[in-house]
Amino acid sequence: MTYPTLALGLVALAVAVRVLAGAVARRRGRPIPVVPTLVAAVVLLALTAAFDNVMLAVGVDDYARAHASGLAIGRAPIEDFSYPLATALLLPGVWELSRRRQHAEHEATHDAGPAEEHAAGHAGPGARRAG
Amino acid sequence: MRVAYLGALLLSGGGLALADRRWRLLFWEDARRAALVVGTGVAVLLAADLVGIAHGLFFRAPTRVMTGLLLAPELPVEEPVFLAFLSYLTMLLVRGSERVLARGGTP
Repeated sequence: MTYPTLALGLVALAVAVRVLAGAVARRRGRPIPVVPTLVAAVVLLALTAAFDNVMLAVGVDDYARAHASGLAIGRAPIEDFSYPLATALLLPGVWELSRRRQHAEHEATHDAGPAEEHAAGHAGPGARRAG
Repeated sequence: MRVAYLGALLLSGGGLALADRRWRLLFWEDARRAALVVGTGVAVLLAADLVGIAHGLFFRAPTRVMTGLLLAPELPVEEPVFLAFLSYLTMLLVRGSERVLARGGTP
């Protein structure tokens, strides 16, 4: 196995869980908002670009370059970005699925509205389904 | 400074906990669900690490900023701490922006 394969597998797993969690959350009447995931992903990818480069420069981390695709941002191999991307996609889904059912229905009635409208408004048509 | 990296992770994690407590975002919102989410992040990414290590993708270079303690071959004690930090930061960003959006811009 090469590093690109591992990275793609990890992101694919995160996407699969996210889609599944999104479907369950929608059925419970509380779709997972899209915008917070995008915010988290953008911030995490920027932080990864910065700190991965610092850490590779001082030698905290090392990796087998021969197994990487060779695509990099500075010194940071593009595959390293699969970890923050995976957490941003996966963890909001786990958070929603871990909601107790009764709790979910109760909360959906009073505080899901504005966030969701906002999310749908910014992410454009299809945002609800994409969640 | 063999504890530099571990120390930086723990210090930064402490900063996240302060923000969490101040705005009641994750552990201070629901400790059970928070532990489940962060635990899932660590478990999934640690599994990816182990797959990578087994295939010779990840190895540790000799460094002066890590303790050198290993949990498994090529798996430093710092790694799960980093993965927990990454998962915690991810969820604070998600919960924080949810909160800001829900209140129409005020944190």
